[in-house]
Amino acid sequence: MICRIAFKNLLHKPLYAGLCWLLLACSTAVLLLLVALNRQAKEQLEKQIAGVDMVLGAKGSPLQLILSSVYNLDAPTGNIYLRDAQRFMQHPLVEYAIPVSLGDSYRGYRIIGTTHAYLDKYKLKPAAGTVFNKSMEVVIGATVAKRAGLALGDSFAGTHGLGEKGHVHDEHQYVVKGILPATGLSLDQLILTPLESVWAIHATNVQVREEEDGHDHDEHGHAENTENERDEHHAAQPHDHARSETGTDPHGEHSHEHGDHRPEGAHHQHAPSGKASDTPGPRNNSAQFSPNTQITAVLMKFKNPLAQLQLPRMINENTNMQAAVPAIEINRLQSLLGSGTEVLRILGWLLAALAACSIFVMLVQGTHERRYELALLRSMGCGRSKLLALVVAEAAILGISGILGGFLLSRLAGWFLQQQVFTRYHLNFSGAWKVTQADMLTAGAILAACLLAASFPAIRAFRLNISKTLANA
Amino acid sequence: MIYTKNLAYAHPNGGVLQFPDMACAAGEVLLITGRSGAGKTTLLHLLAGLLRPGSGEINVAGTFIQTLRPAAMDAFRGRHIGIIYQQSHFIAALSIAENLQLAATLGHGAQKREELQELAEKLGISTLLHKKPARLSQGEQQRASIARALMQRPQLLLADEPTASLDDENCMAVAQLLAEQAQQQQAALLIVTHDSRLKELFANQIILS
Repeated sequence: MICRIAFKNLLHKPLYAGLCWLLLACSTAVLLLLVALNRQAKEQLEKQIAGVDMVLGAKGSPLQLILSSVYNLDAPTGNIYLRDAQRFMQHPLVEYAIPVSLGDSYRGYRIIGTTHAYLDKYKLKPAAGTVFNKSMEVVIGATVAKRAGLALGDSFAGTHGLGEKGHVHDEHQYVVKGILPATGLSLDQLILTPLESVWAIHATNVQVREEEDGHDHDEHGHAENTENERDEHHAAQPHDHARSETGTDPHGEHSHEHGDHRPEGAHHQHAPSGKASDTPGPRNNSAQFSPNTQITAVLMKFKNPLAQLQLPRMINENTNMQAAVPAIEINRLQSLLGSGTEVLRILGWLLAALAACSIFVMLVQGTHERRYELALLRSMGCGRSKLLALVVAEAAILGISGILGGFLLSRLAGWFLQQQVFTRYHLNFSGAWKVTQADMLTAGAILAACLLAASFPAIRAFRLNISKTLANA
Repeated sequence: MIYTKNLAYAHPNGGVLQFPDMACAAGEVLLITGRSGAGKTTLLHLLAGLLRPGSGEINVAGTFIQTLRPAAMDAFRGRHIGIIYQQSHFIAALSIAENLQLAATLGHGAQKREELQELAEKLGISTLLHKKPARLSQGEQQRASIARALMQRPQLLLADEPTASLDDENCMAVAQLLAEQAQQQQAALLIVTHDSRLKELFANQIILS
């Protein structure tokens, strides 16, 4: 009965109640969206770095190195020489090492030169087709297949750089050999190809560009590494003319320079024997690494935590390469982003406070205007505690419906962001309808604020002097 | 049904109001008149248990109401006392029917649809039941508030200037209706008024001075 009257009272003043509801819903939506985004970002960030203990790359910002090589977001810091990296890729404490080579893209989707180990890390097999085996063969992520409209057997040319526009390597056509299942990771938005493809393209490409004068060479603006300035986008040196198809004797090329650091170490998992020239398929191509062959980064997993302590320090101190630990960098990133979400959070709570204030004003004004009604209720046998409950119920109805509205609004906003914004950052949010403890705490706090706002008018209704009120009516 | 003894009320500003002893049996009408400021409304509030007397006793349906605690007083009032005010006020957000039902629910929990309909027809407001109170005329509101008081099935009906804002025709109609209904429900009816038109209708009178 009390709830019914409270509800009717709210309906009796639809504009005022609507305003309060809107304020509540908006503040709840902002706060719950923040909660959801924080949770999702954390999950996403952590899921992505699973299986990567350390990233080896060119000197520069460690965060940038992680973002570019693990999350495929930022531009790479530069390139490193494969022969330098191999010393660590073959380190006894390293469980596996996955070389990656960035530089090109197709319709904004990155083409990553790597090995099968990249897929092994995710324990993934193509949902359709096979893995890449030869140079210029690619396996594409599920999103790429859907959005770029690529199917098995299609061919396409990569664009130089990571943007939508750039030099198109028309003379080199990639062929789609496999399509990966959807994972919800940035992998969905990648195009994977053997390292050799990247080298092949850029070996010739750089030649062409040298003739043309590479004026737009640094347009992608990741020239941190002055050492590699000239070749930073290019996995291969200009004088590395070796196409993957043209075989040269691996030992003839390398043994005199690297001693036991054999290039097949790049495919540590696949050719642990070191007899690269005996193994068929793409691994064979590692035989053609020139001494100056470059890659962008190496993702590594250690065999034991000891290496985590030793290797990064050793690399950072003794080589001209950089070792970055994803876990550390992601913590740093989260604390950097934290200040931004903090501002939004404050805004959300301000809105909530505003909503509570408007409820307060509405109820104070309402109980004043309706004091005669309240007195009437008591004269009809309604106890004081019921009057208290009536006022609190009005706030509670508003609060609960506002919070529910805000919850729906936040999920709607999350869905919208997913459609419009996050795909660009390789973020894939899932479990949108999950209600976490943080959600409940936020909702509880907002409801408590509503009830607090109702407490003063409710107590006033409780202490109403009915005789005086009725006499003065 | 109701009687008072040595009833006095101490006003917060110091003055003390003394009231003559009075009694009214079930089905009877007692008219309480007096000039403005004589304490008519105060007396009504005392009888309704809205105010606490300074001294003396009030007995309604066998209970000395001055001894009741606030919560028990509210419940007792809901069950036994129906009040009709000079200015009819309703819960503005509820329809007339809902207002009437609310009175019954708060009073004794029962809530009979037929009873409401029957009463509304007797008072000539059956076509107004779905309307919001603000849309009714003064006379209609007054009749509706009588209906509300009767919905509580009270043993004591208190009316505070029930006819002051009504024209002669409506005044007579309302006064007769009140007397009739009190008679039918076997309730004691106390009318507090300075309306001289009513003095001609009811013989049983007390004059406050």
